[in-house]
Amino acid sequence: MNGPPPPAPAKYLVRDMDPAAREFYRRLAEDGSLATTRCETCRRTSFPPRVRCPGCGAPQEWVELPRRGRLHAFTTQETAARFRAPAVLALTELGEAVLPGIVNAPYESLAIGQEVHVELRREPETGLTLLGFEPA
Amino acid sequence: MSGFGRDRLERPVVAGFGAPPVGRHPGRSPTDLALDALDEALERSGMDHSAVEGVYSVPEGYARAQAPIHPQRVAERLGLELRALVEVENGGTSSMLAFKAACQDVALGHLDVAAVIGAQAERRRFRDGMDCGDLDRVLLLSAMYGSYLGPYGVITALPCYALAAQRYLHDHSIAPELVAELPVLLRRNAAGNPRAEFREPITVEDVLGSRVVAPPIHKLEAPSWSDGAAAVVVVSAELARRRKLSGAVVTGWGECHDGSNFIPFGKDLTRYPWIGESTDQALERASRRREDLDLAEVYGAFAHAELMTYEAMGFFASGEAAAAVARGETAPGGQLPINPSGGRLSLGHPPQATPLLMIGELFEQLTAQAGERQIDGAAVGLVQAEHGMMNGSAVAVLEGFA
Repeated sequence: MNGPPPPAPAKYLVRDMDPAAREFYRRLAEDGSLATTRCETCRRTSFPPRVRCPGCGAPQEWVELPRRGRLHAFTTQETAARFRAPAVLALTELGEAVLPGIVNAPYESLAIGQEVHVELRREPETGLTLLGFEPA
Repeated sequence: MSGFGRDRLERPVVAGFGAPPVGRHPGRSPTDLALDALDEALERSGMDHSAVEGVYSVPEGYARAQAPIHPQRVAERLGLELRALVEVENGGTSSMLAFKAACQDVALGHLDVAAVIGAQAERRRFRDGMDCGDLDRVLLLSAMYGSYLGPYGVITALPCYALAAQRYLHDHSIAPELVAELPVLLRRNAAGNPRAEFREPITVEDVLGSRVVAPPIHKLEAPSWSDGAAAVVVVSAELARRRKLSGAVVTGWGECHDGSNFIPFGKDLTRYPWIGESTDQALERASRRREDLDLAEVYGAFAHAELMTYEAMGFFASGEAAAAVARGETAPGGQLPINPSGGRLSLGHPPQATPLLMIGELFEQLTAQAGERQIDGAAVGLVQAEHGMMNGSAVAVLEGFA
C-alpha cells in the first residue's frame, strides 16, 4: 500500500498489517478481487492469507474465493469503533475459508446456514475495502 | 551450579496472597492497588519487603495508556535492590505467565523469593471513553483485533465470544435456560467470598431477563470490567521448609497457544483442543489425573465460554457442561467444584489481575483459609487462564504444602 497515508482511524491497523494482509486489502480495493492464499505444495487454503504455509512452510499462491456462501455465525456490537449495533457482524463460509464481514440485513431476520453473497464496500473512514454480505 | 543458579531444580511454593476487594477503586492507580496487595501477601507469608528478590509485573490494563519501563518505577517505589525485574504481557494470561516466570526463576535457583503483581483500575476510564477521552487509545485497541476484525470496528472481545456462543447453542442444541444456571451457581459461590464484586443471589429468570449485550450473550452472562489487584509470593520449597511456611506447591505446568487472534477462522468455534492439551500437559507433569482434583479455578470470561472451557479441559463431553452444572456437579460438594471464588462473572474480572486472583483462591483453599467457602480436605487444585477469545491456555496444578 504505497501512496498517501491511510485515514487517521486506520493508522494502527494499517501500520501493523503484515505483507499478506496488505496484499489482501490491495486486491480488494484495486482489483475488486476477493482472494486468500493456498499452499503450492500441500494445497491447503489459509484464511487469514499467509506468506508461508503454516503446515509445510512452502510458498503460497493467491486464489479467488467464491462470492456466495453461508452464514456461519453472527452478532451485533454494542461497543465498537464503527459498525455498532444494529449493524450485524458475521462470519461467512466462502468455499474453504471463513471470513468476517457486515451483513446488510437486520439481526432478527437471519439464520445460521443462510445463503448470502458478497458485496464489496469501500469504507471512507478507514479507506479499506471490506466485505458486505447480502442475503440471497 | 548452572548459569542460572543451583544445579538441581527447586519446587516453587506459593507462600502468600493478597488482594483488595474486586470492584471499584476510583482515584487509585493500578500500581497503588498492586502494592497494597503485595503488602497483604507478604504479611500473610510472615515475610517483610526486604525478603523480596524479584518483581514480576504486568501492564496496568488495557484502556489506560502506560509509559514505558513500568517495572522500574515499581522498583523505585519499593526502593529494593532486585535480582529479577520484568513485565509480562499476553492479554488475559499476562499475570499467569508472570507467575510462570517467577516459578521458573525460583525453580532454577536464580532466587528464593519472588513477588508477582497484577492490577487494573480503569472501570471509569473505559466508560468515560478510554484514557481521558483519548480517541487514539480506541484506535490502538482496535488494532489489537488484528487486520481482519479490526477494520470492522471491533474494540472489545465481546462480539468474538458472542459468535462462538451462538454456535455453541446451535451446534449442541443447548437451551439458554441451561446456560443461565452457571451465572446463578457462580453468584451463590461468591456469597461466601468477601473479595467478590457481586454477592446478591440471582435466578435463571434474572439472567435471561438481563439486557442482551451481544446476542446471544446477556449482561449477567458477561463479566464486568472490574478494578482489582492481586499479588502472590513464590518461594523455593527449601526456603519454605526452613522458614516453616505453609502454602501451595506448583507440581505441574501446561501451556498451549493456537495460531489465531480472537477468531480461529475456519475452526470449530465450540471446541478448543489447545485448552485440553494445556490441561493434559499440566496433569501429566504433576502425575495427577482429573479424578485427583479437589477443585479448579477456570478462567471463563463469559458463561458460554466457561462451559466450553470445562469441556475442552476434558471435565465433560462436548455440549454437556451446562447440564452437568445444572445438576450441581461443579458446585461445592459436587464431583469437581469449579470456581468456588465466584468466577469471573461474580468474583469480578480485572483481567490483568485475574489469574493471580485464581491462584490466590487455590492458595486459600489448599491452606484451609477459604472461610465459609472452604472445600473440605482440598489438597490438589488446578488453575487455568486464557488469552484472546480462548486462543491460548495456561494451566497450573497446585497442591497443599506444609
